Amino acid sequence: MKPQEKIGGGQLFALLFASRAIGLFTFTVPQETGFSAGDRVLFTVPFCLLCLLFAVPGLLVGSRHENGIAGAARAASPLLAKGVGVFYAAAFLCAAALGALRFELFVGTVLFPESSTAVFTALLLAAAAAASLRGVQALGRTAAVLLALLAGSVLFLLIATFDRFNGLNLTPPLENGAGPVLKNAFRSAGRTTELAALTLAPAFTRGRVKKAAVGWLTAFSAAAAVIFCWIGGVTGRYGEQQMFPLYTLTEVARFGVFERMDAVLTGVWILVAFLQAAFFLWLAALALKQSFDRKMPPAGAFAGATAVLGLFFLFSALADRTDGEATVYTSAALFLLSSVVIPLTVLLAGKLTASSPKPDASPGRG
Amino acid sequence: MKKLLSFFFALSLPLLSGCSFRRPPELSERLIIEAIGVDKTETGFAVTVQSLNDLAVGADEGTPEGGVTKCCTLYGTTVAEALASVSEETGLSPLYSQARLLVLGYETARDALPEALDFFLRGQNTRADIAVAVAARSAAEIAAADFGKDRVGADVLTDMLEAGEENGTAIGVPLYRFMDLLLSETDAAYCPLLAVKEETASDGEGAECIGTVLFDGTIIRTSLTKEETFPLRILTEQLNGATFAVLSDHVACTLRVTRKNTKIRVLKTPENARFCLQIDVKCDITDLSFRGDPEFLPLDPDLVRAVSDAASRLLTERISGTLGRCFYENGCDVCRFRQRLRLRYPTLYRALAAQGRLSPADLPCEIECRVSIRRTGKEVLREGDRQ
Repeated sequence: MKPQEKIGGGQLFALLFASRAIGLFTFTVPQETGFSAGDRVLFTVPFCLLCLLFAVPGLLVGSRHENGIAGAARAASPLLAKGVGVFYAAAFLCAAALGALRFELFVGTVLFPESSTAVFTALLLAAAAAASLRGVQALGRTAAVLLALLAGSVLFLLIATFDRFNGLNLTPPLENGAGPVLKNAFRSAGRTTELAALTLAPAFTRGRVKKAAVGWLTAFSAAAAVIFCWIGGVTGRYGEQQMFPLYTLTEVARFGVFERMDAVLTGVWILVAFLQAAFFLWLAALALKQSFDRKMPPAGAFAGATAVLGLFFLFSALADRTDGEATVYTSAALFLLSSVVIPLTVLLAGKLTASSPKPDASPGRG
Repeated sequence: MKKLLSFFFALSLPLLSGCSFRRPPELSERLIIEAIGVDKTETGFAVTVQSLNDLAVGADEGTPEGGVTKCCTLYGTTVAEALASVSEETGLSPLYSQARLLVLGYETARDALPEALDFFLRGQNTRADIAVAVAARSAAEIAAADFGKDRVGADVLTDMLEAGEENGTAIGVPLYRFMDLLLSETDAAYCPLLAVKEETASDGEGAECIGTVLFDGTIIRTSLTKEETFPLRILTEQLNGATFAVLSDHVACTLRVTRKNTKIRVLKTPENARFCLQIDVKCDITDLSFRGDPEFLPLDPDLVRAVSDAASRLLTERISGTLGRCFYENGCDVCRFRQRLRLRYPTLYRALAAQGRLSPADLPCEIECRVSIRRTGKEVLREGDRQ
């Protein structure tokens, strides 16, 4: 079988950052009160620490085997490897569907409030499936370019709103105690499905996965702190009432003759949503490929995209019925299983297999 | 396979224009809204919509009779309900994203502000930076004010407000800032007060900014004149530039503010907090004359100092007057004293709030204003030019 193509640590950083960025752009202030502007800036610290903590099992299991969790599971038991592969494929498809759902909410509310966005989502997923067929190197290169675009657009947004920033619009952190900060840090960490990618990362990364992961989580948290601080400093309590405060920030941005930059910036965000879907589809295919040792046919990517679309409609219906709680719990359960429980289980299984006496090839001899 | 896929995606691109199989409205089928006026009625709200007159825009043979804008008034029990009927009334699909001005009738702002604004806070239709103003009487008369057939009223009014801001006589507020201040536990909101011009005005009908309305929470407390708005701009740290006259017994001088630096310091005392407002204003002299003297004046350092001192006294007096009127008389915390205290000394703020000691009387403020003359103007003002 053709050896697995690999990307560098920098490209892994770009892929993880760009994929997670959509969560930042579609960030919504929780409905319950008490999570003020100052808290939103401060919460990025426990969020970063929690993510680093939750990344440990994935990185540990990855460091044990060059093929990541699939290799480690196979070393313990081929059956476990197949189960792990199927679970991770399903988890990444679910993550892609939840990401699409989040983005559909943004598109349906802000961009095309009067239109059905199902066509838009279907096309986005089809394009993502086609992109995932190009392989991880193409995705890594795209992510690097996209990250530069993203950083440029956010920087331009900050400059364009600089004269409207007022520190007085912020609030002192921890005014309502540490509860809201910690609660939201856990909640946001529970949505960071990209951590599960770290368990597979050694299989497709040349560079140092640990360094890329720590760099990604630290840089992402710092970027989130700056953006939240800016949203609070410019839009104040009005921003808190808006569904997507960062989009509101783009609406008020003005720099010389440049006005109404929301259209340009949302264009970049659509690319980010596309990249996230493509990355998750590719990861799902990789999980299956490594566990079953079979190359995925091109039609598999489109089958994956179709499955994601189905899950998207399912989650959409569940979210409507449960007032959004179903997606929160699904996301948290997937995160815990894929980033913590299964990597630890595989590690434990590996230890047990290694410590158990190997069956003698010829029992009758002794 | 790749070519086939590329062809498929290229083919699907036109679908993205509306992301729907429903035909999106053409420009001619759009009602491009420029200004919205909201008035409270006995049964709900009357919403007056000023929109572009599509028949007039781009017409070859001059401006048609209707002018470039047209107005219609819609009624409903809520603002959203009234606006929802706009398509039925006009046969056009409304486009709110172009709207530049939101005007609230005085009674609406006084009695039903949250109800009137909730649609604009919650909805995604209008933009966050639409300008907000209160009408001296009804919003309908401002939204329908006639500025001439070829002028868009909303554009004229927002341009007037911007010019007023440059001149220090108006304080324009975008929706997001206005709402932020209204929703604040500590600060006071403000916005321009617009009125229809008197019929006798030389430049015909229309509307103008006549001052600023101040709120405490969502309740109108008082209004300031255009002259009082100038110190308000200093107090709210928004002065970009302004021209003001300094008159003394012998000298009349006009100063143009070129730069200002406002610092509001929070000073903690054992049992309370006080504030120190330090304002440093740099000005250019734009004209100067001795009263009754027909000749040009020499400008010596003593005279510059005298003008600076007189200007400092004048500004201190005007700022004290406006601060007293806003904060100490009406409780409108335009300087954001409480918020500054909350950020600088959160524990003290919480303690004072618990004791109910955050009233204006408990928060004294000292004002120090210094005016310095940066440039003295033209050559004729040099001393040697008199010989």
